[in-house]
Amino acid sequence: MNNPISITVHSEKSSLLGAPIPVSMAVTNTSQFPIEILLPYPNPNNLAFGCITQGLAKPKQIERQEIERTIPVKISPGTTYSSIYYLNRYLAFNNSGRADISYRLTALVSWKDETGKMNHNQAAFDGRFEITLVEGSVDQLRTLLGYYRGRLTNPDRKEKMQAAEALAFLDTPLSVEFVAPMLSLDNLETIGIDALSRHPSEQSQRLIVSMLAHRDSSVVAAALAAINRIPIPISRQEILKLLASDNPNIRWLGLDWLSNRPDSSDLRFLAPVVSDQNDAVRELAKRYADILRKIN
Amino acid sequence: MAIFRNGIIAPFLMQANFGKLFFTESLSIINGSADNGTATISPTSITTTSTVTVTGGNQTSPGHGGNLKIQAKLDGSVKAESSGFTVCAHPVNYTDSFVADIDEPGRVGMIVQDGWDSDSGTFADLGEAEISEIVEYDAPISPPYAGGGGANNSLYLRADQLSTDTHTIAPRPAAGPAASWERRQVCIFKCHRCGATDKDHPNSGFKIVHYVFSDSGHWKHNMKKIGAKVTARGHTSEGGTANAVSPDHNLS
Repeated sequence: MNNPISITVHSEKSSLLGAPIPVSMAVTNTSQFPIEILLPYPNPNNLAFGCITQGLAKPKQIERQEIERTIPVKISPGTTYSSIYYLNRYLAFNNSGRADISYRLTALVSWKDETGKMNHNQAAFDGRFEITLVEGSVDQLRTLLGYYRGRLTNPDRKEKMQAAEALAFLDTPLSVEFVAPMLSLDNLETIGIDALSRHPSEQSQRLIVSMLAHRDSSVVAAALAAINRIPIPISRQEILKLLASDNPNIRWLGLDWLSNRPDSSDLRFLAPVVSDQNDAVRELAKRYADILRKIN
Repeated sequence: MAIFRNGIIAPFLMQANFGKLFFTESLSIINGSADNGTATISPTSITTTSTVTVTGGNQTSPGHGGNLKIQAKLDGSVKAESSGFTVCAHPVNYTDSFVADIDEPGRVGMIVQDGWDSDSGTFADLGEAEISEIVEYDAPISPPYAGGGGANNSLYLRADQLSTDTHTIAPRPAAGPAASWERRQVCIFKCHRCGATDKDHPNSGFKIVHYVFSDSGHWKHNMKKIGAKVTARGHTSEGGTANAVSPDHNLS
């Protein structure tokens, strides 16, 4: 048995142009053995969509996810696991109408056979399905986005992540106010920052900079990355504040940012971190201070 | 079971000085409840400054961290109370083992099975902890590799379900010259019971090294993941346990 699963991909109903375009992917275990499949969510590295119909959509540049860590999905014999993906990450639609969409999924499928031997198969699935996009009013769009915003607080982790994915890649600046709540929701902060950075308005930039005050260094790292990428003008004082964080990893991020943009005026602020209790912070601070002394 | 008191692991050191050492102090854990969690203390009476051991019972519910306290009484009067603490389990001792090869037109690498333990000894106790991974890498030698240096944080995943990690480089490296490309990985965790965030996962340091090399006139790639003390984005951890090696991948 090479392939113990079957894949069904479809879009059930018409979608508003500019709104999230959901696609349901169902994975059925057609074998007599329990299987595990690697289906990260989101899945930019191993799932691709293309628009076959001419003139309706342009492919987006897909940002590869450098870390592919995922909990394998377990599927019992004869049962189906479904999840909702959104075309907005992959395609920018500019016209309404019917469109043929192609997909390609690669995934590792693992199962134990009747002898107890573990089998692994890197399976690839290709297919196509149809979608229909219709024009809608701004009010209709806002109502729909409000529905997804409400699902961001769903206690079910999968539902929450799907709602975030629905809102994160929209091409309308209208999405900013619906993405903003992610900044205060556990595990959605970095997704929100990245989504806001795709609509670099004054409001979104202010929201991104505000995340430098977050207590989790991964969130601060995402905010700094967005600030660099857009780029967002930011005063050096804002970054220097990070050196006073009680989280050593945030102090390290501040030092890393500053030392990659050396300025001799920083030297007088480095004294506390040159003697920091955290080894990594202290070593980086000393290296940066040495560089500044040489500049001076 | 980790007992956290302002982030410091017990055994809790009682340093109250009551002056008259011939009296017996009675010690107890107060505020135990379904939400706050429960713990026991041993011994329950002391006559001098002593080290006491607090053992976690039921775990603290999320949002109720830091409410348990050690209380010392003398002749029925409360003489001292500790800072609040939380009963919660945290992940320790990360491992990785080879699962599957990846040798595709657009990428090469391998998939590894992650593993870790709970410091309580019961894996299911990790239900309110989450783990994220940080990988940092220097700019590679180009050719054979393409791309730049950088650092990435993964999203957090729940800690009571084991994960897999897919380590690839895309595009495939060029057919020479010979070079290696090292990445450093550290895991961090957060705990919704005690509110800890950004904590270095003990023994979760790894080096992930890609190699391009010549073998009998053919250029090949392989990679390995080994436990090592590393620092990534300022997070440092002692080495985890791994010795995963991919098969060779033909480049020419």
